[in-house]
Amino acid sequence: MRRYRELEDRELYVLAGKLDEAAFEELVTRYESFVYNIAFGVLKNADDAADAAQNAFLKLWRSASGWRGECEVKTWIYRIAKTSSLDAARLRASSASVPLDETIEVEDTSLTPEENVERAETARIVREAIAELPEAYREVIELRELGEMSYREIAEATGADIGTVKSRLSRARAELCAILKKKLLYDPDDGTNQRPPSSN
Amino acid sequence: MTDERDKRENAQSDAARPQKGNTDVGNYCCDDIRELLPEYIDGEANEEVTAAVETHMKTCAGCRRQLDELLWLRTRLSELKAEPPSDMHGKIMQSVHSDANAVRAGRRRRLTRILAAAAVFVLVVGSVFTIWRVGFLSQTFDNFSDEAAPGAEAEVPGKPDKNDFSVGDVEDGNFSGGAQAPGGMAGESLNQASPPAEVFALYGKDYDGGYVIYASDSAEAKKLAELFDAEYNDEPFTVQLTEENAEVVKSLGAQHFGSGTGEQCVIVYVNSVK
Repeated sequence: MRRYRELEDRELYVLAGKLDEAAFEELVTRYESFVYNIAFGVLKNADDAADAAQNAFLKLWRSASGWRGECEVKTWIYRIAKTSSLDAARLRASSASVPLDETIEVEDTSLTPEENVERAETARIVREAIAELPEAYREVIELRELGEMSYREIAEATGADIGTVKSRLSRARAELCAILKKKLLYDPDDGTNQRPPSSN
Repeated sequence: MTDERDKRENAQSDAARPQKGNTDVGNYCCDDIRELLPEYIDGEANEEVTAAVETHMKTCAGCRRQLDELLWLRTRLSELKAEPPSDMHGKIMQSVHSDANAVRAGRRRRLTRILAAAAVFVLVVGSVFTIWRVGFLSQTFDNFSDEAAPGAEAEVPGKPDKNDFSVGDVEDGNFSGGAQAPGGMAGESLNQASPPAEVFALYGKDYDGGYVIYASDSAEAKKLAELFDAEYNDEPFTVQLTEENAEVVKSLGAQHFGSGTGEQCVIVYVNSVK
């Protein structure tokens, strides 16, 4: 019996193109968090991100039969997720009926309520810091940190060469550190380890 | 702006690497190491770079602080990862399942239409073939009639009459209905004829009924010609089915076939022609 977990993304997607729902479900399992976080990064709202992720996967499913394998499946998923999220953001902006910054962070049950609040606040600040980055830097940070893509995959997704990906990542991180050092309030006695080490 | 910076930093990154062939990890300076730290923490560094970074970290507090800063940032960024809602997976698969069913239903509809079109095509082709075949048989019969009765004024497409007749083979596989005249040749002069004359019904545009009589030999044909008051020149001949000739045919015991108001005739063949 065929085990979908053992198949490569590419094999699963080819099967999905033949209306194999189980194969596609394995892809959903592998990438739902990735797609959701891409959407969340754009929409900054849990419900909107879930809707955008659902639409993205439906587009992914519908495009499976016509997929010609010109890029990695993960790259293809990223493009669809990003496009769906941006479309949703535009739609939401045109209706302007939903608050834009209603972020809902998932609570970590291993932390105290206070720690969760602090963590949520830190996450909000980090998101704001990422939003201040140029689009090219924001994109590589998302792909690397949220998508856990390799440099080669990022290069394919962005259309840049690997050297450019490296330099953008390096620069993006440096700028992020600089922004966060200004924005985050540090308490020497704080044990949450959120404080960045002071650099020379 | 970003592109220009990319090019500049690409050059710096390349410069950070030791010259080809120089694999001494001790040759990396702090700037080199800091350029390579992203690759190191991202797991993209090769063994040489990994060894160089780890060796350098043992002795350089400044670079170690830089590494700590990147790791701290990584931790903060990893905390941004949000878990999707627990029902999102189910909703996705539900929408996929609905879409798959719609696609399958669409394919079934297309298949049904294709099959229906194919059935219609087969029916049309079959009908055309049947019509063509009937026409071919009619034409064959016409040819048979034309060739066998050069005296006929017009072609006589025919069809066999089912009444009291069985299908018979007359000439070279050409089809025609045929049977012995009921009662055989009834005329006195023809009573001796053996075999008895055969009678064929004629139908067609100009002749929608009548008889074909086969004489067993020239002598019999000659007698028939006399009965019909026709000339016999050792060839088949045709006579109009006048009332008088009808009486003659009737006296021969032949049965008239066909109906309608069109012209009717009697064609006499001798068996040698047949």
